[in-house]
Amino acid sequence: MKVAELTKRDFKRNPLMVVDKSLDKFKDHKIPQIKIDSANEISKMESYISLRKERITKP
Amino acid sequence: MLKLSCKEIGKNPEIGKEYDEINKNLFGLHSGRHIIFYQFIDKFEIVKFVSDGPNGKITKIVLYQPMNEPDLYNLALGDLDSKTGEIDFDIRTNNGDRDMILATITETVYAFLYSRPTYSIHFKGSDSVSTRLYQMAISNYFDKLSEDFEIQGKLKNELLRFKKGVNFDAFIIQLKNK
Repeated sequence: MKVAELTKRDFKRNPLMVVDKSLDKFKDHKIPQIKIDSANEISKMESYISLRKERITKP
Repeated sequence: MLKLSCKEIGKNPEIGKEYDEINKNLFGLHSGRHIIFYQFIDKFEIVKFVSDGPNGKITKIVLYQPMNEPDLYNLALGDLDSKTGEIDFDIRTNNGDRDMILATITETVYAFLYSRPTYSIHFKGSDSVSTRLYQMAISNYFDKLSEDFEIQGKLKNELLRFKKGVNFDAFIIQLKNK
């Protein structure tokens, strides 16, 4: 629904997110390891791998 | 010449021209008779917004962090401590504006995935209670969200399509292939 609206948007004049360099200082903040472990575990699952492959190859 | 241009891009990725008409997040740099096309990967995205409620104004930080696998990012939400400058990713603020916060996070997901249509976002709470809150939020807005997103839930060692009433351990969200 929203994607349909976004396709009509002029991103040059009306960007979705504005770059704010002052936020770069938060790059070094460590997120809880439990989240990273979970994401990396999912990335090794067969179901995720085939899902990803499908997304990349499907036109 | 091409090698030199690639080094230049590595040093200053913003140097290229955006080729939005071909693909989102696609940049190109002229190098002699060639154009080197490239995309940003391993790039943090950080969003800041303010939660305003009975506990006062609280600065929220949404962090999109690249994971080991290409195209996979983790979404983490935290509160900024204005005195220390630290982000607390484990806090539950209860500032009475949960719906506004969820709507804002959803906006950032749209912004993130719209420019990276093949990417996936992983998210889970810092503990089972927080994960349950995410679960409830997805359930409440599932009909609306599922118009644009594919949502998967991790259950033990499997990744399944999101279903209301099932307690998942973590979630993966992607833009629907249309």
